[in-house]
Amino acid sequence: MDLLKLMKKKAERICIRNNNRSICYQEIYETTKNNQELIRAYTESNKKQGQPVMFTDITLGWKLIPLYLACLAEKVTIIPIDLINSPNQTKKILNSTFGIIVKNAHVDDDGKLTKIDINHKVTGYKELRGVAFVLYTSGTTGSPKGIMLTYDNIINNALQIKQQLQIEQEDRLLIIRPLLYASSITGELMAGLIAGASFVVKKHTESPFHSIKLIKMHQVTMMFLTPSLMFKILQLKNYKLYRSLTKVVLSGERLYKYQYLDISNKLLETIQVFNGYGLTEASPRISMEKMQGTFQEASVGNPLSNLKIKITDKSGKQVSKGVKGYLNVKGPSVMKGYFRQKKLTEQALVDGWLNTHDIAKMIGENLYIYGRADNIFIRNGINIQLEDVEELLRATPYVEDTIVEIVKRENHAFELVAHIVPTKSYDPLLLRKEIRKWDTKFWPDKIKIQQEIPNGSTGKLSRILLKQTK
Amino acid sequence: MKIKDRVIELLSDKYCGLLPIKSIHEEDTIIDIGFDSLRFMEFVVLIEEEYHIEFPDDLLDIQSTTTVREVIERLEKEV
Repeated sequence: MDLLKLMKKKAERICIRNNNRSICYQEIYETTKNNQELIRAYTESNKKQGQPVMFTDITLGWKLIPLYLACLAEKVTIIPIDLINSPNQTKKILNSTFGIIVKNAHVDDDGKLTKIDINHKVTGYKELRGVAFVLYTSGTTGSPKGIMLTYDNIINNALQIKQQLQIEQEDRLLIIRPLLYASSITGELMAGLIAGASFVVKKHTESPFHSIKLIKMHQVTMMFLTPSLMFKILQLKNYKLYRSLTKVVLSGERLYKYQYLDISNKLLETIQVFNGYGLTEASPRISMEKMQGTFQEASVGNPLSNLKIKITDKSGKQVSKGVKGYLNVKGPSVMKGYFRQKKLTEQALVDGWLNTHDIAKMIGENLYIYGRADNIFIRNGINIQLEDVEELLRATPYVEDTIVEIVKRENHAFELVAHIVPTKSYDPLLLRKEIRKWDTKFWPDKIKIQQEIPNGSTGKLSRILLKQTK
Repeated sequence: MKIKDRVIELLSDKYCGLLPIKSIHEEDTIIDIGFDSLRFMEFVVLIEEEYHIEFPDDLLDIQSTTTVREVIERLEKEV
């Protein structure tokens, strides 16, 4: 699919609303062409070796759109970076991969690329041939885990999402999450572009609460967010401003009954609520449920029609229908693999089947998801590997050893609790100072001193034993 | 309870924050005491419930320089 051709057809239609300005598709098309020329000048000579990389600072907001489109057209792999919330992860990525880098100072008010910086040098990566995006989901400690999504992955998934959500060119989509995640890139931006819809992109530095103002100001018809964020927004006093809204798409976390009941009670009856399930490795969407007023615990609706689903036991053997097991998916939106992580890729992808590590079951054609089978915790739609937090804590001078676990709070909310065995030099304030240097997603909600945590047979603190002592 | 004391209490680990009350100083920035924009939303909701006010728009975005004192002073004017 040629996105630029599609855009040309929409020429006079509004593509982006920003403050009081409307930017039409024709302008975005021309800006993209301008960006392509500059990108080509830096990358053309490297293409024989493989595919070059562009790192994009996600605070660019809507200006990422003509930048992403230019990279897609020029076959340059995009690696979005978050310098504000994940400075350490970004540093690690930039130290290990080379390419061109684009930040705010390189782009003018119209989104036109005026100059480019080089991160070390420009080089072509064989493994990135056909890869549109490398999206990093974790990796402050150990090797970063970059998920390679191809052009076909993204377009196939975006087409399915567009169809499921029935996005039309009259729709105006509010993008709240930064264009760093598969959900916002594929499920919002690409699906919307294919439909010829228009966009409002919330600034990265603005509070999610601003969404209310943006909906009113730009007559937004669709918005996409996590259930917990929707729940929080609806607790505000001035939330009743959603008159233009017709669809709310929830994804990134499990939707709980209390959340759904509150959301459906507070939103106007005319607003259709969708519950999406997926993971970055699947571009991300695997299934989508159109909520019909009733709530079925753990239900995420029917899988997308171009995906195959298999539920297996630990050994990889398929279980009977209705029995819980590991969810495996296969289809055109399943990732190419993890960038420069052959072993990890071989573990995740077997004969094209992606093991999601999610516990699931199928009843009829309906998929039910019960959470993770590993130590990944999803907070505000972002994956956190518990071992990463433990490693960060151990690297400080104040923690001898630690176990990090997820604790249920009221209303199914969860928090990240670090049980630590302190060193002699332990000081709570100094430890907090160390934590402030980390990427914010890893900050524990609570720290508990545990002088006597039982050890497992290896001598390491055991998560299971910790639970048994409670 | 004075607004100042209550705000610090709400910003502490007794409510939606990460640090004990004694570790929060008026000159600290909101980010210093462990708040990101999502955690700050919980504080906004608590303030609205507590004082029956609509949280001031200009305070919704936490800047890297916003201090606890600024939040307190602004809320003292609103309440």
